[in-house]
Amino acid sequence: MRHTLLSASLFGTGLIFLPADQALCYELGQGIHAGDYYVSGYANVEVADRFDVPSKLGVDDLSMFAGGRVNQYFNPFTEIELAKHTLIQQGGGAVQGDVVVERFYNDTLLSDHNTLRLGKILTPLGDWNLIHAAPLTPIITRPYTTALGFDAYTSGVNWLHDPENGKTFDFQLYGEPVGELFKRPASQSPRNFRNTYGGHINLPLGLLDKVGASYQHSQLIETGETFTLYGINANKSFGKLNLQSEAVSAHFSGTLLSGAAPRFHNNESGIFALADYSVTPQWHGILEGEYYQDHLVALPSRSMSIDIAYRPSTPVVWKLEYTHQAGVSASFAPIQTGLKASFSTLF
Amino acid sequence: MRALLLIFGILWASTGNASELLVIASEEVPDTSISIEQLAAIYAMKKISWSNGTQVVPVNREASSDERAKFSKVVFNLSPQDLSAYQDRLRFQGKLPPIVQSSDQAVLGFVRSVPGAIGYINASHAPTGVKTLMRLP
Repeated sequence: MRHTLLSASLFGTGLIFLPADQALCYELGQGIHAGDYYVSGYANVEVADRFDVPSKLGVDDLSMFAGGRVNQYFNPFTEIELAKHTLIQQGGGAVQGDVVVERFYNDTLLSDHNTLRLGKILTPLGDWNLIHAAPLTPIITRPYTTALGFDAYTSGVNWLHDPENGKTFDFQLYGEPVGELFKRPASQSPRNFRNTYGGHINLPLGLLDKVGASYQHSQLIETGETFTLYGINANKSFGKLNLQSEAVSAHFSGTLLSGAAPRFHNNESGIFALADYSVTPQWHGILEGEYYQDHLVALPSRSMSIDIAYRPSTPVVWKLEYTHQAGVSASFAPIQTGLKASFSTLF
Repeated sequence: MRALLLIFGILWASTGNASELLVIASEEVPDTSISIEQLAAIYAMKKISWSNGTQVVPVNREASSDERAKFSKVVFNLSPQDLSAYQDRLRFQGKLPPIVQSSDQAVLGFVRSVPGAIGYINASHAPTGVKTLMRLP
């Protein structure tokens, strides 16, 4: 594992030193190009003051990703990150973060509009999972609906179809025959999956607007349960107002392994909706609400967040968020009442 | 007085041209013209090769430039911030984003030297060594 991580890191950082046949021109958020390759990344620092838990300052994500477009068959991409690293915690006891290989794959271009991707990917399920980097998301706290109830990282084969005109359906199909490549530590991933397959389809309504639907079938390794999930997502702008929403519903079945936590429900489902109003190109006010019923928790999470985001330039964003939890947090990544602030940037 | 009017007229005409953009491409690009839809597909990273199979290499001006603001508006009807946000999302998803060059001369030099390259410059220039595919009003 250590050797694999080292190789991946060298691949990423080594790209910087490749001889470039093209002029380099660095602009924050644009990464560094060197010939057919590029290196980029993002950082997100958070301060959290949640009621009933110690306040803390930490690096939520420090991520570097590198990719290249070399020829029809060799188009590698990898992303490595330091995740959830606490710098200071009220009362001491800071938590070391984990180095995680988020993605590691190669693309084969079957045609201009069809790509065969092999390796570890972000699962195409909904919209948020594919663009979850903090500088790209409108609010600080990620809704459960976009992460918790499905296999968010799959390792295997992925077919992407993306038509040129941007007006007809794009879709992705994927399958994970064995399990996760570069398995993330339990602190990052309490639920692990295998035998995953699924698909995602989008109808573009413009460059940024879309409606989509998702399907996934998988098995939870920890409990032995299988589930079938259906999801929908939508994103639509009306002038300065952007609306987005995702919903998922998964049905769990199968006999639980001995020692596994009992399930309270056979279904796990959630929906969030978000309104982002651009007061100026720099200042945004955002209101988000979510209902999520974890199948391992008796009562649902019912949360609402109000955010103010300031983007002095596109790759840089400061956010301030107040969250109110009127229900019960899900079994992982608690969403609690309190304040959060963050600074994030693409580089 | 007539000379002053003439100078004023020339300056006025030159200012008018300056607000237009020329879409230029490497001389090795087989196409001789391009539609707005094809241009949008290239900068949305949906069209990745020319008709002869050469890789498309799009070039952007820096985010704060007037040329980029105009290009975003005319081709996508978006603000440069919205177009940048879209391209940042694609970059995060592993697509090779447009390369940034910080002046018209740099764009011209890049497009001239890289096969398959396409970019846009202020129409007040008279580019040599590249193809002009389109004039954006």
